[in-house]
Amino acid sequence: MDSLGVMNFVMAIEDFYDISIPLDRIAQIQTVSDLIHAVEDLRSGTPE
Amino acid sequence: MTILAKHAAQRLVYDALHSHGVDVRFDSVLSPTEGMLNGRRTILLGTNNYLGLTFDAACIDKAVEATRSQGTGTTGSRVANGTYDGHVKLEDALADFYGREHAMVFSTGYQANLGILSALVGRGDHLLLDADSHASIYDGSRLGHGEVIRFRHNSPDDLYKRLRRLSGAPGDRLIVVEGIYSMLGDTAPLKEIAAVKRETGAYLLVDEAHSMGVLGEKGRGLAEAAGVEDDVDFIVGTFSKSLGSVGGFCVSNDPDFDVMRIVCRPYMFTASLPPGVVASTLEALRRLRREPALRASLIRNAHRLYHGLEAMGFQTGPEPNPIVAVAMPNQEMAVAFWKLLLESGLYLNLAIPPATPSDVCLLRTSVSAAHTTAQIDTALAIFADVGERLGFLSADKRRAGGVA
Repeated sequence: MDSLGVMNFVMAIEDFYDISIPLDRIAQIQTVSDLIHAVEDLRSGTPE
Repeated sequence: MTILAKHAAQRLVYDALHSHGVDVRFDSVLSPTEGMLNGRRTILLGTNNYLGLTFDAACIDKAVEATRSQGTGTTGSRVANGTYDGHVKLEDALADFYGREHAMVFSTGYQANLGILSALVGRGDHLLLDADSHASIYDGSRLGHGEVIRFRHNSPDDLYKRLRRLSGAPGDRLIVVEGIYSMLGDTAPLKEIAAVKRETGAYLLVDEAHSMGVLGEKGRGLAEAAGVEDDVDFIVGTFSKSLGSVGGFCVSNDPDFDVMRIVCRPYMFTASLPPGVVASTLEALRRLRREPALRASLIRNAHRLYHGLEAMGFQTGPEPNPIVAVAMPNQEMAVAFWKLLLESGLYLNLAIPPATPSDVCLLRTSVSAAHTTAQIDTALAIFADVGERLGFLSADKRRAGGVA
């Protein structure tokens, strides 16, 4: 996936879960499991 | 393997572009609208020289005078030996032009964004950036320690949604948008964004780099044109476009503004602008204020080019502004088109990803007040000719466009 694809993918996830994933967190996400953890953290309102 | 091997992918792109001959070196620049390229007299239609003041006799005289009397450089930072009378005069003139209390001048527009964004947004704060923001805005967001959130390009609704998600969280919020976006020439929906700002209690910064001297009755930019100057807390801009020199600035009414002089590292740890640059910039700002006719010519030229290209069937950006971008179907066509334009005596910018939004390839033009109607028409005729040679335009469309 190119950078535009990644951005659209992230925005779709943000819309679906009603969250905003900060840029530095996006940079840390390497695997699907990283992504799941980030979404779970943000949904439960846990900072960082 | 060298230490730069990590950039192997970019190296391939660079080599490919180099082999296409797309790295341009001007033999000489003759005027705001003409230069010599590969021994050929060429129309410059991609230099962001909106008011065409780079060769203005009064601006040159002021620069020469200041250089003779004060030297070629200040050899120091603003906070050490680099503040001269001219720097303070320029800051006063900018504050007066924008009707604000405070102004600060930086050595480049890039540094202005780097310095201001990193100073305004600290740990625990939230920076909300339009997704199509200029690299200097993204880099400024990394130099600060705030949380950075992107919203969909020019979408006040998406911005609102993201601010709503932050409700209850501690920290300041700063929204950053641009007056005119540099690739497609589209403006921000600033009235709507200002409404979101008011409702959510955020601060608003507008980068007027490409809109100063271009939009608004007085040339102050999009905030003036949209009638929302009171809602804009910080305006950032550059001297390297409408004012024809180099440097950046920020203006604001924030009562604590001056603390940024010892907080903004890109202001403190770099040499200040040379006296000649300061002097020509001051004169260019005076010209911008005194001669609304410059802006009128600019807009007239922009409309002529935009509507001319549109009538021929080219796909242009959403609004007729001095940046007129033509979309190309792919990089091969973009490079081929660009090279034929150049061989025909027309220079403009070849813009390819990642510099462009939505990964499109663009032929990006920027119009100047100094272009003559004849030059715009020549540019249109060259576009029509190349478009036809590459099978890009049908002969019908070309006739319909009325360009001979």
